[in-house]
Amino acid sequence: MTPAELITELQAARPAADGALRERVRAIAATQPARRSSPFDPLSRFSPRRLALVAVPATAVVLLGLAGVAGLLDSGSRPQTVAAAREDYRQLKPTTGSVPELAPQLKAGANISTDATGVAADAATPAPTTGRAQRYSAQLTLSVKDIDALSSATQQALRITHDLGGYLVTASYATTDTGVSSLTLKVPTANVQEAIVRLSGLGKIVAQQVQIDDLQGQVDELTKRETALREQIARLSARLAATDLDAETRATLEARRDAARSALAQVRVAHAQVNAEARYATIQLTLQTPQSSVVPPVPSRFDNALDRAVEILALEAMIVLYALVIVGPLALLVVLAWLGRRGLRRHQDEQLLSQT
Amino acid sequence: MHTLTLTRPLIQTATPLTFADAAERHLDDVFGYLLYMTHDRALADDLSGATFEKALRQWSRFDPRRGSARTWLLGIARTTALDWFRSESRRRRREEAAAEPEAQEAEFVEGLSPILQSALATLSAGEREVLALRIVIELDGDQTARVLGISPTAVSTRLSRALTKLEEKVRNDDPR
Repeated sequence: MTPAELITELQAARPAADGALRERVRAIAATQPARRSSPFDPLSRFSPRRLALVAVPATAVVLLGLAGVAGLLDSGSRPQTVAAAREDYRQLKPTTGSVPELAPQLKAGANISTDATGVAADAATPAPTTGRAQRYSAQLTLSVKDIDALSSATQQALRITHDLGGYLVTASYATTDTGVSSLTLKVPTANVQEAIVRLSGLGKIVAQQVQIDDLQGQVDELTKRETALREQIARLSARLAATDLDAETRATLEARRDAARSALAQVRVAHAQVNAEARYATIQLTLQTPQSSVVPPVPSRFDNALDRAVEILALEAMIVLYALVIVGPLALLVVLAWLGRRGLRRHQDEQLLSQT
Repeated sequence: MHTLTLTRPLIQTATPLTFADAAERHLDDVFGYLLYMTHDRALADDLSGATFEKALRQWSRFDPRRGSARTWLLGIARTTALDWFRSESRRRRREEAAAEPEAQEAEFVEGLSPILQSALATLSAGEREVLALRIVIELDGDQTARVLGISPTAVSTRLSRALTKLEEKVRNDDPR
């Protein structure tokens, strides 16, 4: 018998169910309940795989939609925030205002400060008292328009200092989005008022502080001490000029005169230091640009909506990522176990069928 | 003049297939498949009934776009038969007396020659099922692969081996 004959015979003797089985199956089919339409009917047709295929993109679309809707809804409230930001920015800028009248004569240790005045400093700046030794320190913060103006103002400040017989002690210049230039200047006290006036013309005054410490008391004290020491030295020198002194007395007098001379030298140094302090005033000048040289543009409603949508999407992505990190390995284990079980079952089935 | 007889409609009608229609149309296929698999007419009868009971419960999940009702029913029939084989195997293991195999029917398919009947009896259930699906029920390779859960290539290989084995048995048993 050839294979073809085998096949023909097998096909010719196709088995058929007998009448009893047919009736039984008809009876089973007759028990099929009438289908009631249910809103979940379409879902019941989907296998888990197909459900996942639909559910994953659908969830992504829903998340995107949520982000978009939330962005649109929130975008309306943004302009207030922007307006507030602009107001903040405006408040940061120096404004003009009244300047408190300052007493022309300052007592020792007086400290005068003005903030955000923005007016010329001549009326506000106290002048050092003529004829008295004073330590004069001024801190001046000026606002300039932009980085270019900052550079120019810094150079002009150095020029003014030089013109007035002063010099630069320290300088710091830094620019990023905003710029700050900090200069420590020494200016002859006689010219300090002019220096402050001219320096304050380089920008708008944001803050100004003048500290005057009276050193005249120290100077007087040192002068008195110096005079006393000179007189003491003169007296000791006169006594030492006498010829009838014994050796011991002479030695004692000489020691006292040496000590007086040494003390005088120290007093002179201290005097010179105080005079030097009084001769030069220290000006701490800070030049700065506003927080941002450009007024931030008002974002459109679309930009706001987009920003908000992106924020929400990032949040959603974070949540999904967390879920994946936590559930992912577990799901992978479940899938692997399921695949392993299915493979094993198939293998067992094959064995069973080959042995039966 | 040639006459073309259609056993199945070429184009399915728009009316959705009911379970009763599917059962009526494919009962013979299911029964034939189970008969070849079990080599036992009464058992094939029982398993056919069980198959349709199970199919009725799962009918709402049947999607004609994913495959024909025939393939779907044959898949359920296979699961039902495998369940029976598994339980039978367990029963045999439990009962030592079952070590002696049950007597097989001499004629389990009507119309087949005794030589072919006995040759078929020597094949395993796995070999008989591929013969039943590809030759008797005339499923194509893809449909058979879907029912068996293997690739079409594996179906061809399995069929070829089964046919070769059957042919050898028949040749050896044939007195001519």
